[in-house]
Amino acid sequence: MSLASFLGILFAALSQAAVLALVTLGIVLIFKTSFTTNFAQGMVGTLSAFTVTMFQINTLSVIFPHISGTMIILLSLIFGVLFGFAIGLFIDVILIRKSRYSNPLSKQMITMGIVLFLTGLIPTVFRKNIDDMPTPRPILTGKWIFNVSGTDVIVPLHNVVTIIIAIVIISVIFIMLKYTKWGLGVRATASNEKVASMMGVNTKLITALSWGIACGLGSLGAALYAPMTTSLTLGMMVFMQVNGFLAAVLGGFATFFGPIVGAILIPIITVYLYGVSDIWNVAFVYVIILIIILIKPVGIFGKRIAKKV
Amino acid sequence: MLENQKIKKNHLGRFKQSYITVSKHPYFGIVLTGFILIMIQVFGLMGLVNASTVSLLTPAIIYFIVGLGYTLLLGYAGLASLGTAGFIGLGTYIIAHMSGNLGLPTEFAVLAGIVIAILLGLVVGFISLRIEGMYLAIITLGISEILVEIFKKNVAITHGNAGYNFFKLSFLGLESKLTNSFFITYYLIVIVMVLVMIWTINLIKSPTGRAMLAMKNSTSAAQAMGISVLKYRLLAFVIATVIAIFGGMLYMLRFLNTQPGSWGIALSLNILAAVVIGGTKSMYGVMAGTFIIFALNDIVLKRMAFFQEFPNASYILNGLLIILVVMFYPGGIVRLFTDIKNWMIKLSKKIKSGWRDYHYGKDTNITE
Repeated sequence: MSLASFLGILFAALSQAAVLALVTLGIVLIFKTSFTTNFAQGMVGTLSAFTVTMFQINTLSVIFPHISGTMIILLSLIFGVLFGFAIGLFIDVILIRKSRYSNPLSKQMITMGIVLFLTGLIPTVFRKNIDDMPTPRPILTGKWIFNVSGTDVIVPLHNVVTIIIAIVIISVIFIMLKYTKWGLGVRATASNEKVASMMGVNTKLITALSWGIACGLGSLGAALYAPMTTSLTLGMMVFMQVNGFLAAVLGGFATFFGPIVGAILIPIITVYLYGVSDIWNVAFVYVIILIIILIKPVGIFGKRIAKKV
Repeated sequence: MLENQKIKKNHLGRFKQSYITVSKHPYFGIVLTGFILIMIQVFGLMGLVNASTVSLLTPAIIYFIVGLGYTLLLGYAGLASLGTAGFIGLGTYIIAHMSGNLGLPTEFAVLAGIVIAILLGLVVGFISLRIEGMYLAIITLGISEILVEIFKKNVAITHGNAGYNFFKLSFLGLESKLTNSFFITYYLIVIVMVLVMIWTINLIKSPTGRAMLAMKNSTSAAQAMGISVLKYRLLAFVIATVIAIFGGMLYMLRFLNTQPGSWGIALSLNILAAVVIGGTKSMYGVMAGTFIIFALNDIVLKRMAFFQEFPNASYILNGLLIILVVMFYPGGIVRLFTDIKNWMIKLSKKIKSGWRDYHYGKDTNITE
């Protein structure tokens, strides 16, 4: 493999990894504060991606006909993230808060109910356009071409922007987790929700904010991912959803950076194994993950937690 | 004449008595359900029921069979699995490969499928010894995704995304052809359902079922009482996997086609939803849940104008139902029936006492 094709594949994998990292961070945030795995992460993102695309084409382009396309897309991205944030808050306040102390399985079922609800809602709302939804537009349409030892490496600028946005957002979330009151609250809630609330942490607010941020991250991920897949479909985020779970389990739910490492590793390994066998590469990656988890059930960076009988 | 009447009454009484004895037997409801389901197709052959209704009901019955195995896993052994859909898909592709590609008899393919199911169940069971709870759910989801990837990519064996189609298949002399509108395999599916239901009832009441329940409530306590976690977890997974793969094979025998897209995470989640909505520990609950999730949409709702205009809107209803049941009826829909029954009994007592008071006047003389 020449260096040029190596770099080309690496950028393709990294742009997927960026989206996957955003989705995974959302899943982990929710797992930390609500002690459940959020199946709806991908579906909320899909709803946002649909909304963002429609908002761009039907609203923003009509209201501001003179602004450049990139500006409109950035505005609609911000709108999409806020929309996802609102959905997250709504889900927590209406549904999850009421069943705070029930077992994880029933909370899982609630998120599953949300998936089914959105599966019905999206085609009902966007009914006329579900089969021919407009193609989501990339943020920057150009391509970044650079020369490595005589061969050109072509990377779409949208992928570069996606990677940069993901790095910035994830860094901001990590800094917030470390230094803000919300971050402290998340860490306190994660270690013990009841004790945290006794110590004066407003766990309700913390959980609601975490849901909002998590769904915002999922929405951002989906909105950035849609131009890469070039079409909006209901199942566009299923792959990210499943891989997000696997990444979180691979890295271990105990830390925040473990799942991110998992999310970066999975697409890269998958893409490079494509050269070995294009039929078995995905299955092979899953088998590798299974074996790692069997050896270390709490994940690569996980810590074993002693359980009281 | 008076004597005659007395005898008649006695006969009636005896009949009533024996009816009560029979109807209290646990198999009564099962056999009745099977009978009704068989009658649906018989009426269909007479022209009273649409062929499409029967063919829409069939997957619900198959998923109910699979759901019974899943109940054992989730409600009794307390192990959450999201690999069910992958296993059902594997069942369909075992028949596709063995009878389609290799040309072996279908009976042999079914036997081989059961052997594969036992081996796969043992593997997943061993995994479940090391990983628990939500992690296990995600890992089984991963296994299911591996299977779906194999179905999609191995075009030479599975025909890829287009799916594998048969024109006809015969199993134990029952032949289904693509041109049929009523399939004789339907009876086989109903009979399998009845057998699995009877077997589940017996298993639940046996020491095995009790051991699994003990294991669900506390693994450590169960171990302290001498219950082998290894044995019962493996058993639970083997049973659930065998039933799932067998369900897949029944699906193939009836529908004669299979596509990788049908066996994704959505189906696993739907089966989980059916089991949870109905009530994880009740057989009839699972039946109600399966009907709501898999059949209500196609058989009932599609006839209403609103749902014809928005065919996907029924998912909204399903989603809301799951959320409402989980939040307000954690025991499942089965609880709703018992609650309504209790409420009716209460109401009838109230009416009776009200009527007595009205008829004879209120008892005011009673002192405490």
